[in-house]
Amino acid sequence: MSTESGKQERFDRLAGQYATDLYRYAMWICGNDALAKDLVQETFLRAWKALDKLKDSGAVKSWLITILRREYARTFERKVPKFSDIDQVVVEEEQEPSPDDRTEVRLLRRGIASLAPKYREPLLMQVVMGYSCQEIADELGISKSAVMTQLFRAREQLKEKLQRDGVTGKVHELF
Amino acid sequence: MNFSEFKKLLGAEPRSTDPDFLRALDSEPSYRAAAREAVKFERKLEAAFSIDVPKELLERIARIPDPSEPEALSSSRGAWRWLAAAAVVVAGIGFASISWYESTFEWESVNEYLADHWEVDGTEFLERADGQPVDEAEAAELFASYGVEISPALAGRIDVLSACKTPGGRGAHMVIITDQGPVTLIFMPELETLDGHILAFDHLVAATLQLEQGSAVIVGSNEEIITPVYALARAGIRPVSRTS
Repeated sequence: MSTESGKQERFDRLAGQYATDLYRYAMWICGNDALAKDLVQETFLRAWKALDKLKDSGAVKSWLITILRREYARTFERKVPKFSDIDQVVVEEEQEPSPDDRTEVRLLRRGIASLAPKYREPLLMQVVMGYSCQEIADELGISKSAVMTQLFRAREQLKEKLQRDGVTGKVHELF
Repeated sequence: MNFSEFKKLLGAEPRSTDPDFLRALDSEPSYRAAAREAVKFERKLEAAFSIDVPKELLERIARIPDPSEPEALSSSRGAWRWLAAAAVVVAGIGFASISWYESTFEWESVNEYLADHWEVDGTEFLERADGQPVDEAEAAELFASYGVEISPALAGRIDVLSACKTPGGRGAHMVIITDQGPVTLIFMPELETLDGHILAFDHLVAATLQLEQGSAVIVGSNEEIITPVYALARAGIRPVSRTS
């Protein structure tokens, strides 16, 4: 196998493994479908160029997220026109099993979209990317205890929103 | 670990493997009940975060070539996609000469094309604008020659229209009437670019727009003035086969 074809195979594996998670991540931080797609594409373009330098395959996920977050920060600095697509995208998804669940999930999506970024992003890292609290702390450059507080508050706010919007359940009695 | 501490940890990391947390979990029925409810909530949260990745994005990623391979440059559209990415890197710091690739095009980046084209036609076309829309049939005919259809909403706002040289062939240079003044829209049928990126130049702002077929760049004095045209062009330039 040539070096180039080996690189292509490695890249394909990486793309297959992380494209979905990165798109979800991008979509939930920017709320814009076109921008999310560009961010993911740009992330993989950069990943392709730097793939030879990546020696620790265990660090791939963190490496990609770091690229994507930096790219988003750059985009934000350029004040790209914002078109909020999150409602449009998520409303189209109808994969939940029952109408009640669908309602809850829809409310949760609205709740997630309305969370302050400092709460939404750690939650996104944990739920979508499977990061531990320590990994989130390392990525965001804050303490682990701060991350835990933000995660706790993020869930609290979402549960309060569900309760406020009329969805009840035992889960709310416990928190 | 008391119940209050347990609940806080549960709210922060419901699937924690911390030994103290796991010991507490087995200590009391109330702890286990709380953990069960937390896991239920996590499933809903996972479903809420879950969004299908667009097939188009996967195709875009799959097409990412190695720029060092000659065959990567055989497709002019592909090469320009990379060049557009390069343009993004320098956006906001003015024009720069980007020479990453030997391109089949006359220009090596969107920025370079725009600077070149603007110098020749940009101001002159703006000066020609008189607030009167062009004949819609004439606009439709020009766009049909590029294999796209233009919506009446967009056609009705074209003040100046001219065929022009664009990367890879010919396209259309338009001056669009808006409530805040004229905005330039350049349709580039052969160019695939990155969407929604801002290129600042010469006291003007330009945004790239990837269309279903071809792409466009919108130029105006500020972002507020170009944003409505971005939306109008996005919805108003479609492949003929899609709409007829």
